[in-house]
Amino acid sequence: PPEGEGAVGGSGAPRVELGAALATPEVVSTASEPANSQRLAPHLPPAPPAAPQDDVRTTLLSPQFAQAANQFSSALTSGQMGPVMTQFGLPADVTSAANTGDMQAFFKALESASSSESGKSEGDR
Amino acid sequence: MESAGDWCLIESDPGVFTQLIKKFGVKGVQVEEMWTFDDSIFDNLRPVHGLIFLFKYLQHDEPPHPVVKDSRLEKIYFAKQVINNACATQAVVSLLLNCNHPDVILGPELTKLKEFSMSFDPRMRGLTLSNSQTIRSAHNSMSQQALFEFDPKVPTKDEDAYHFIGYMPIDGRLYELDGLREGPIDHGPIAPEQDWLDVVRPIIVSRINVYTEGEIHFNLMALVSDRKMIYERQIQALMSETRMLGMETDDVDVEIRRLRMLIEYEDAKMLRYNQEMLRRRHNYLPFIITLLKILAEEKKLSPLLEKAKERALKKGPK
Repeated sequence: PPEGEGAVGGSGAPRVELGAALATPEVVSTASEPANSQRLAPHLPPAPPAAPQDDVRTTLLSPQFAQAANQFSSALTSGQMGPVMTQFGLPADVTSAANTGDMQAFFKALESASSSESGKSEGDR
Repeated sequence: MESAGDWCLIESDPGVFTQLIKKFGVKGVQVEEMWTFDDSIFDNLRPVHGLIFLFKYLQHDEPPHPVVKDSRLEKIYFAKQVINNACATQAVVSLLLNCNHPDVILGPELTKLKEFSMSFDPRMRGLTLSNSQTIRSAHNSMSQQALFEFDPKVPTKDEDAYHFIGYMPIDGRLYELDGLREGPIDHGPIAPEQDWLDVVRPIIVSRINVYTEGEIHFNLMALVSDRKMIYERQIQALMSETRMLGMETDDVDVEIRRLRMLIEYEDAKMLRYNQEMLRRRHNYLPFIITLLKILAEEKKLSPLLEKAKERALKKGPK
């Protein structure tokens, strides 16, 4: 589909908000797989005393996470996420894709970065 | 309006407002959301000290009633809104500072603010409010943690023209406190035996009807006495009553048990508010990045985007 191309402020392209996209059953079940939820666990929000700790599922389904994810996607499509990606140690390809503001390009770059790195992929910290 | 200064947007959520009020150092009140507006809605919430109404701001509407510009301003705390995002805090502070009820304890910070600003005109009061370090940091601590600094090129759809105003009885009259007006709006007298909620109800209902027709979002919240305090007080009263009568009836027993359940419910609610606040304050960025990496490794990222686009298209523009 041609809509995805050059979507910076693109008029035709639908505006994708990641909040809803990351709360779908597919994402929830992928993220909840033991190996994956272990990687996500250190990044979960804290709980107040006497309240249950949020897990991956409650996090993905919470409105506060949705808001953060939506903020992420609007920052990404405005092309301002490159520097942040660098902080997270993501490769230059991914960073420059993030700088274009094209979510599709960013996701593709992230996918090819992870496949070229597979095999030795225990460190994602 | 000048720049938004350092004020963040906050959600119109009863938990946010209740915690905001606590951060101001105010005791004895909380905020409850009104889901409907029928006759019985307030029965379990009395006393109601004021109402906060959130709606989309329409530039051109005229004040429905006279704007107070006389000496009543010396007694009514009314502040002009001088910065954008502060209107939620402004509405709730206005209600609190005009509230004259034994349940409501303003605390040192708001008492100081009131004493300091009552001699000013509405604009200076607004400036004083927006310059208050305590109020600003309490307000800002309520907002969603910003993942990072960035300029949104397009204003996000929910954030633009929403506005909070307050309604409350002051000295036997009903007032609307809207920081974008020149002064409080006088909606007329409340008869001595009349419940002010019966006076405000038709005003809000007609306003809601306008917004419902235009499919405009609105939200109504009530500033009420601390519910747990009220229930505990009722239990005390029942217990001392039975002690005086020297007997205990089943009715009283049932009522006390009901009140204890309501207290448990309040405790659970406050715990939930705390949990939501910790979520709001949490930096989800590392979680998001790790999740995107996981999805990328499993080649689930591009399909996810395709599906999201399809959904966005189905929903149509906007």
